[in-house]
Amino acid sequence: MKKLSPLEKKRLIQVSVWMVWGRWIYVGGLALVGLISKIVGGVNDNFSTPLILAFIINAVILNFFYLWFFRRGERWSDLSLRLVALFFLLGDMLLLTLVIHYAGSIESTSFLYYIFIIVASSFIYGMRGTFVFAVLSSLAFTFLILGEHFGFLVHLQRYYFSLPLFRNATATLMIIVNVVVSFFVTGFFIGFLAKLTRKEEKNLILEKEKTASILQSLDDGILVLNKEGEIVHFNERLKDILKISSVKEVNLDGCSDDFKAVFSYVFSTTDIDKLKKIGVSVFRDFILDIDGIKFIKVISLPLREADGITGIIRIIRDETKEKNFDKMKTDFITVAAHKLRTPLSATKWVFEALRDSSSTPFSQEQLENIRMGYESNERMIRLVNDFLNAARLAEGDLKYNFKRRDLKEFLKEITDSFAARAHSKNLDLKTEFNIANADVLFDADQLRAALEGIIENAFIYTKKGGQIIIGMENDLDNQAIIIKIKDNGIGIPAKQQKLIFNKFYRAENAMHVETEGSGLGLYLAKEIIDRHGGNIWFESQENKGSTFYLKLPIK
Amino acid sequence: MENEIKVLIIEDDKFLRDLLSKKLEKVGFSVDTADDGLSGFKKAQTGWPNIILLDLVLPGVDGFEAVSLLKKDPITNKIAIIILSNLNQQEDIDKIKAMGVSDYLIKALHTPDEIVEKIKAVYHKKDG
Repeated sequence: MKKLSPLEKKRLIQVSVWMVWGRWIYVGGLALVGLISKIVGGVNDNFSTPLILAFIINAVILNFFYLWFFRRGERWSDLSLRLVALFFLLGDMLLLTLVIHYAGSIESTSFLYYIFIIVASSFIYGMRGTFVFAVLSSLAFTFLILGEHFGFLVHLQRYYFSLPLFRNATATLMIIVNVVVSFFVTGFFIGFLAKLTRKEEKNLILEKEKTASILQSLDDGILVLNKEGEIVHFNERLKDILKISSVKEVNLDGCSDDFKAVFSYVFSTTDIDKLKKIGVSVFRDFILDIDGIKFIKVISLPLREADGITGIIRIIRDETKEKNFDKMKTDFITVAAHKLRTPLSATKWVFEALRDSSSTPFSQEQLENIRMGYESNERMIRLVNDFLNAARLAEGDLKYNFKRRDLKEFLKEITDSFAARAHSKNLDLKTEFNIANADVLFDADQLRAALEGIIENAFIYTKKGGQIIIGMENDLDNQAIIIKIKDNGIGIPAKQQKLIFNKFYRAENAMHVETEGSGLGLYLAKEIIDRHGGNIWFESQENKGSTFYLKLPIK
Repeated sequence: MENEIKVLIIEDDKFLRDLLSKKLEKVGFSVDTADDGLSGFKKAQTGWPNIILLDLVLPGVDGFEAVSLLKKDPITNKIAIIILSNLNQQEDIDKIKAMGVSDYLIKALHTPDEIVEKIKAVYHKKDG
């Protein structure tokens, strides 16, 4: 026999308990009819009072036993449960047949109680079982009636007629047919209903088991809490990740602070109000020190049911592997870039030494070549720097050194450092500083890198004879300074403007002009300005030019 | 006056070390070199340089350890130290500056000319 799944077993027990409750009613009904017939008298003379009492006591004792047995259903094996249920139904059929016999067989209307047994069987055995019980009930009843009609069973008279019913062949046949047909009709409809509900139930059970098994086999820990913070659901992986043996009793004594932080967050309804407000998900990162450092991400989602948000779903993800992999990547970039720096410094110094060597004067052409070599090397140094900064940004450990300084003075220095290049490229480099002075809190090295990157772009992407304007003004509300870098160069194609601040992204027309850019300049500039609490944006039209705006708050 | 300045270069990369020492000799400094932290520290004890140009990433005793050795030793703790490294992480810079070095230069971002200027500036500041 197929083993019952936990949910199926639960259902069998539940149905059996219901059957016991139903049995109280029909035992009660039978007992009542029997006792009334005794009190009123004149009928049922052949069913003695002691016998009736014996039947009642027997039925009551059995019912107490069934109740006791099925209420402890979880303890018994599948086989015992099934056997007792079968004994219940078959035993009642036998008892009922005996009662009917004593109550006058064909003259008794107690055959109606067979219907209870047929209905009950349908819940346990389904369509086929219902049919079997309808056949058994019919056989028992027919055997009794025919047996008495043909005289090989004693007929115990219930009512006294001149021609007793059991002697009347037509009446006997009619009643048998009616009763048997009613059994089958009942059996058919009940069986059909049972089949439908059992199928639905089976699907539900399967669905439930499938969901549970999916939840169990996920690589993420899952915890579902209701509004009160009580645990509704969880999977084994949760215990794995958090290294706990039970979710019911989490002992925080002696735990380190990082553990306490994770547990007190995960097992409480923190953030539920936020989830109600924003409706989507909330992410939190934790670092745990269990057998080495573990990176844990907790994703919280609202538990939605028909009547709104009724709880919180926590997904606990172990991101250690991914983080380590990421770290390996950035570490590689960091090491590679660092290694590149030493030879780059050497090349820089060699070019400088060449330029300075007064003993052997170079021709104009040679000097130009030296300058180009130097420039190219400088570009390489900047690229390596960008890579290093991007790698550090990815690791989130780029430290800033904020100091209060005059931003106007600072911007002037930077602009001046481009003067020679403007001259050699025949560009008109203008400043428009419409501001007295501006004390701003900023990291000089970082902000210089951001500004130089943008000005550098203006230089590269503006044709000879073009114009670059570097401006500075107060924001309308005097709470911020806006730096403006305007050129009349190639501009950014409208379609690509959205992507321009993305890491490694380069506009198509920019790649034609300058093949070697890293695509990191604007990405880094944006990161840097963001870290200053500022804003960066631009206006641009292809072939007309671009204007970049950097807004820095005066804090 | 410049020929009074004695510079000790502690740098493990031979190419950079040679380039720099040639440049410094050319402007009239007297130059000594070492290729790791420990030999650098010993040369500082015996050679009495005015300025030490110190790399941070060095075999054996690295730049950070070299600074703490130099600062602990009463013979060498008055010598001005200029860090010349390619590490440009703010943490490293903050850490070594807190140990009492005079300046921090990044190789790839400074030319030898600028290095010479820095040496002079630190030397005169210390003198004056």
